[in-house]
Amino acid sequence: MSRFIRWQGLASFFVVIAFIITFIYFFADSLVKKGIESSGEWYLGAEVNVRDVEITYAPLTINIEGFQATDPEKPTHNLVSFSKASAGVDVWQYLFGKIYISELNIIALRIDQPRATAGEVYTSSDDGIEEGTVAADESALPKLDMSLPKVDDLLNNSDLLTIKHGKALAQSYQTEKKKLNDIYEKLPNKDSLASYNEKIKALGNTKIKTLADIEKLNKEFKALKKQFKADQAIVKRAKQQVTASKELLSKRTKALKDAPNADWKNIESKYQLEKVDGADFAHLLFGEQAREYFGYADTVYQTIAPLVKSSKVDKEAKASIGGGRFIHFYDEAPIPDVLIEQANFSLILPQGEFAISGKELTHQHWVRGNKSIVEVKSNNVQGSGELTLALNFSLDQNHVLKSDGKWQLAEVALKDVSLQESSAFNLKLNSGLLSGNGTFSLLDDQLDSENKLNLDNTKYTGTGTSHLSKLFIDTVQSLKTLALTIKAKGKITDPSLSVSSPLDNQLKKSMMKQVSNKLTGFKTDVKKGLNSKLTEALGLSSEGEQSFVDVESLINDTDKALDNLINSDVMKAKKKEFEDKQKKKLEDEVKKKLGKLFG
Amino acid sequence: MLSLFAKLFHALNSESSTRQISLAIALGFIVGLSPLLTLHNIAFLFVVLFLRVNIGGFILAWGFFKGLSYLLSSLIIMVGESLLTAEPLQPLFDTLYQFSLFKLAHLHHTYTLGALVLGCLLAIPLYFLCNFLIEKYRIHIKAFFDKFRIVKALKASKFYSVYSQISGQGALS
Repeated sequence: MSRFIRWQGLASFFVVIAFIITFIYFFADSLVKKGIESSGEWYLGAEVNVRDVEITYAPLTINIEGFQATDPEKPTHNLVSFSKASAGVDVWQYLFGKIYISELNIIALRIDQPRATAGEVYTSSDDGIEEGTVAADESALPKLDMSLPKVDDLLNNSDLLTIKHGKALAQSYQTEKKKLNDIYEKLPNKDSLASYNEKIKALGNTKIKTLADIEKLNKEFKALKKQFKADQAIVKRAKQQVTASKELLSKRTKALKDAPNADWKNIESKYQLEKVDGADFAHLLFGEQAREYFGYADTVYQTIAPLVKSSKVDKEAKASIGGGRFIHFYDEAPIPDVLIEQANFSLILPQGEFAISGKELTHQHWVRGNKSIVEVKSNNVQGSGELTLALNFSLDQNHVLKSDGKWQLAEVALKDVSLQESSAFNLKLNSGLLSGNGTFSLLDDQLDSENKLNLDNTKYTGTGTSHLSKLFIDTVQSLKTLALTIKAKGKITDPSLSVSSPLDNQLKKSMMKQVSNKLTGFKTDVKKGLNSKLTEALGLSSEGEQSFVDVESLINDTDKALDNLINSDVMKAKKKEFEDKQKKKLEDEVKKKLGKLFG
Repeated sequence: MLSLFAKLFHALNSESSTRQISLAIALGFIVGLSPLLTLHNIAFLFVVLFLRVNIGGFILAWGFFKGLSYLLSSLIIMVGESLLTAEPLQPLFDTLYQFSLFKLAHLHHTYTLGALVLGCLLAIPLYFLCNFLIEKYRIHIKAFFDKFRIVKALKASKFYSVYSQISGQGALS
């Protein structure tokens, strides 16, 4: 037996195992500290410091003190830091290849805090800051630097359509009038028509004795008829001319009638008068602030989403670089690869201290079928404001993130919030009390959020460079409360924001009231001037129209008279008369001869 | 390190059983391929210490195959992955997974299982190959190399003096 067994080897084995356990026991703290620092640095690409790590074994709890992770984009500041954290780890699950933390507590979690010395950065970030948003906002804002022109100057402006179309109508009237005059000259006048009637009458009175007389009469009638037709052709041309002239003048008149409205629209647009009516004041004032807050939401999403959605990526990456992976099989009580059953953070921001609690935090919600729940509470937002936020999120096996939540804010004191800084005007909210509530849902990266905010006891200061912007500031300053509804929809990285508020109507009414005298007066004067120009031009047109009617009536009468002359039955009557005479003569002769024969 | 090499040479040249040396190398191969702190490595360490296996050979083989495992890691993972994801083996792994020992040994990890299976399978031919080579060395190769001047020069080196102290011999006879 002793040929194969080395009894002293047994002792050596226990010595080795004891050595390993002792090594782990004494150096575990340093190993974990080093592990947190190096894995943090690998993930962030910047220096990570941990002041101290302490491990207690019954139950296994890791206590971390003085954690600081350098912001790789701002090495003088920490991306995140906390004074103390403790995590209760389930040893068995850890040994089985899973991280199961029953309770995680982080005290005094801070974001973007300055470091004592700048941290080292190991990788450079090439994420460019998206420029142009501010510029786009600026350009989207109405300048409100309107100054109203003098009405007389405006009405004498030769570019006005009313003036242009009035001139065109007058000119057309003159041209068409000349054309009609020319043709009027050529029309057969009353004397000509009377002469034609005399001639027809004379033909009717002609004595017909022979067939030669009939022939002669017919020849004279045809000559007259030819002349009538020539005159009728002139009348036809005159009629066509009248129709063409009427159409042209009618077109010009319509254009002239439409011109004042078109002119007013141009004036409104040129002098930005329509913006006073339709300006989106709420968006103008609070759009930028809302965009900023949704920007924070985007930052949080961009930071958290890769962590919770990376399990698949991690597995593939590990497999490819040689680490391998755990494959889990059917389990009666399955748990995810990483699970934090209960987490409590105290987050300290310049805005206040926030107590954040999380339950069932994992990236594999389908394993236990539970959603992760996060609650945020604070009772000292900006001093004494209260915030409650509750959200839940889950990730399915296709790594689609679903989340929804609601929040409520009360009595948050706002101080010195810059609302607008543009070339047209500056406006600052000096003080006010903010309250509100909202809901949001997220499906993958699609956000749908509706938020209602109320500002009370507001005080504003501002400066404006134009009359209208000063009026705007005065109006805002006169408002003591305002309500806002901010909706965000679309991709979380670039949601479309709509900011609406009764403020729009309030401001519109208020502004309109203040500018109404000037603007209404201006509108009335301009419209009056335009209408007088219209009436003047249309007066000319109606005169011309009457003369056109007279000419048209005359032409129609002449045409009718000529028609009657052409269709005269003088020739038929004369022929009938001659035939009757010849017939009677023949009868008389027959009677005479028969009388002689029988009598 | 020199001592370890010297011990291995001593073992090769001594009357130690070739099987003891070959088994040490084969076990060193299994342990070397696997991650350092695994349950089965502790078991193999127990075997190495408890059985009369050449410890010097084991430690050297462990170190050597640990280095080689980095080159073989893709193959190791592929073996583990194909075993753990093979449809016909699912009932077996489902049953094994219910035992804490299976999970404690990390045999549901692709690298660990791949290393253990590959190590155990290749350890058998490696054992016989080592047996064959050691025997050949003792009969032919040692005598052949002893004739070279370089070996004679080596015998005058520090390494040889360490070797002599360990083996307690004045010459490699």
